[in-house]
Amino acid sequence: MKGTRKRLYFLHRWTGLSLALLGILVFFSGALVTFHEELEAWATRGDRIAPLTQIANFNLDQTWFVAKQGVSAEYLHQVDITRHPHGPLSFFMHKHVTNNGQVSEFGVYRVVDPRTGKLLVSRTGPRATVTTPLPRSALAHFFVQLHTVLLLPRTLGLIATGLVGFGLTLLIGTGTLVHRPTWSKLVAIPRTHRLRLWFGDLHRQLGSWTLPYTAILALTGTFFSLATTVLIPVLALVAFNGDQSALIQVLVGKSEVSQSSAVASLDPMLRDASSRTDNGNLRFLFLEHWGEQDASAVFFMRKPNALGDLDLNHVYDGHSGEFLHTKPRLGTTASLGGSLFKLMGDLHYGTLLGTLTKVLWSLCGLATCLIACSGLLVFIARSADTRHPGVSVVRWMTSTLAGGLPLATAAVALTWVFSCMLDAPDPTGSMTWVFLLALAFTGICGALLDVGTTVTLSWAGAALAFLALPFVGPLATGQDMVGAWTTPAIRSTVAVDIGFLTLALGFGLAAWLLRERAAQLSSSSAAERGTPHLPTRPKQDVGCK
Amino acid sequence: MLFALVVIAGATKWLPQGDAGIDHIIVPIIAFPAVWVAFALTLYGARRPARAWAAICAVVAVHLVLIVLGFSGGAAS
Repeated sequence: MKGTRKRLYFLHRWTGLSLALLGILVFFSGALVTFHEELEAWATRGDRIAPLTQIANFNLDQTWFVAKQGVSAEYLHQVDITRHPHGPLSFFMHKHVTNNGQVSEFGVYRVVDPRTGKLLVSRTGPRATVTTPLPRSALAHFFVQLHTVLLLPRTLGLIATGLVGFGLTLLIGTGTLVHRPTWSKLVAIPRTHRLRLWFGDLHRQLGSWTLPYTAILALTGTFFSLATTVLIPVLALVAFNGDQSALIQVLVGKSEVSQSSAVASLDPMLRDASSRTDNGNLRFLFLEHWGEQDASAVFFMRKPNALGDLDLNHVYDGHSGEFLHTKPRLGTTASLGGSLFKLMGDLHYGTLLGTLTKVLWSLCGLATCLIACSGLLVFIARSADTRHPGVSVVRWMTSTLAGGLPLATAAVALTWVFSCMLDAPDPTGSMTWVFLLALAFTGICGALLDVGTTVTLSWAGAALAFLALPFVGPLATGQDMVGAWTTPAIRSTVAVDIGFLTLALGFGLAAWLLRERAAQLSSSSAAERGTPHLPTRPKQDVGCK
Repeated sequence: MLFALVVIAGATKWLPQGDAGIDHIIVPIIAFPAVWVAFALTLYGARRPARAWAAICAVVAVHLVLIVLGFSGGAAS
C-alpha cells in the first residue's frame, strides 16, 4: 500500500509540475472570464446601446435589409445574428464548405448600429477570420481566447486546454489519494513560523477545500475543449459514417415547419419572443434554411432574473412567422442529454445560481492558482539543496506565473485603454505582445534577482495598474473621468470597477506582507530541507500550530 | 486515452437515444473525461495491475466489438 501511495505521490508531483504553466494560465484567465459579459459592458461604457425593443423606431427587418444589401444569395440561407452586450448587431451570412472532410463556414460578416441603421463593418471570409471582435470588445475577447485556446490556433489551443483538463483530473485523483483530506486537516490552522511549511499547509488545505470546484471545472473544461476537436469527429465516424454535419444536425434538432415559399418578417417575431420572456433581450438569432422550404428562426433570449439571467430559446416558422415551441439548447424536446449539457454549461461558467456562484467560481479560480503556486514554492524549498536542473526551470516558472501573470493581465488592460484612445483598428495584436513581454520580463527578473523579490515587485506593479484602471478605463470610450463617474452607471460597470480596486488592494497587501519574507522564498533553512518529501501525517499537521 | 475513446464510441451503440434522440451521443461525450480518469487511476494505482489490465481490456474489447458490428451492419445495409 505504501508503494502505491509513493507511486501516486510521484505521479501527483510531476503531473503538477508539468501542468503548472498552462494550468495557471487557464485558471487565472478563467477567473476573469467568469465576468466577461460584465467586462465587455464596462468596456463599452459611455456608448451603450439600449435593448433592441427599447430603441425608438427600431425595426429588425430594416436592419436586416441594410446588412444583406449586396450580399450574394448563396450566403443568405444560413444567418447568425448576434447582439453584443450593450453593443451593435452583427450578421454572419454564410454557407458550409467542405475541405478534406472538414466542414467550415465561409461568408459575409457585417455589423450594423441598430439605432442609426449604419453599416459599421463588412468583411468576407471564413468565420474565424471575419468575426474578429470590435476594438471595444477586444479586452473581454482577449481573456476568453487566453482561457479557451491559450492564444493558439483554435484546434491546437482547444486540444491543449483539453489536456490541461485531463492533467488536472489526474492531479485531483492522485492528490486526494495522497493527501487524504480529513476534517481535522481541513480545519487545521496553517503553520506560519516557516514560510515553506505555511505554503505546504496552504497547498493541502486550499486543495482540499476547493476539491469539488476543481473536479467540476476539470471535467467540464475537458468536455468543452475536446468535444468539437476530438470527440464529435470520433463519434461521427462510428455512428454517422464520418458525416459530422449529420451528427450536429441531430444534436441541434430540426423543427417541423409549414411548406411555403413565403418569407416571414423578423421584427414581429422578435417582439413576440421578447414579450414571452418578460421583455427579455435578444442574444442570438439563427435563421436556418432562410428562404428555403424548411425555413425557421431560432431566437435566443435572455430573461432578467434575480438569481441570474435565464436563457430561453424560441423557434418560429420561417414562412408564417408563427411561434412553434420553446427549445432546449440541444434537441427539440427535453431530454437527459440536453439537461446534462445545460448542467455542464452552468457548472463550468458558474451560472448555476447567478451572480452568487459566479463570484464563488471566480474566487475559487484564483484559489486554484494559489494552490499551484504554493505547490511550486514547496518544490523549490525542498529541492534547494539539490543540483537538479529542473529547479531553475521551476524558479523561472514561479516568477513568471506568480508574479508575471497578474502584472501582465493589468498591463494588457492598460494597453487596451491606450489602443482605444489612439483608435487602433484591432488592439488584440498589441495586447498579445504586451502580455508575452510582461511574462518574459518577470521571468528574466526571476532569473537575475530571486523569486521572492520578483514576485513582490510584480505584485506591487500589478496593484498600481489595477488601481489605475477604474480611472483611465473611461478614456477608452472617449469619456472624461469626471463625466464617467457622474453619469448614472449600471450595476455591471460599478461591479467591474470594484473588482479592479479589490485586485489592487489584494495584490498591494500581498506585496506589503511578502516584502520582508521575500528572501525565504528563494532559500530554505537546513531544517526545512530535512523534512520528508511525502506529505506529513494528520497528527503532525494538526498539532503544529 | 485511446481506451476511453473506444469505450465512448462503442457506448453510442447500446445507450438509449432518449426522447430527443441525442442521449446516446451526448452522454458518452460528457462521460469521456470521467472514463479516462477512472481507467488511468485504476491502471496506475491498482494493487494487482494484471487484474486491472484484464478488466479494462475486457470492457474495451466489448465496445470494440460493438463498433465493428456497427460498421459491418452499416456496410451490409
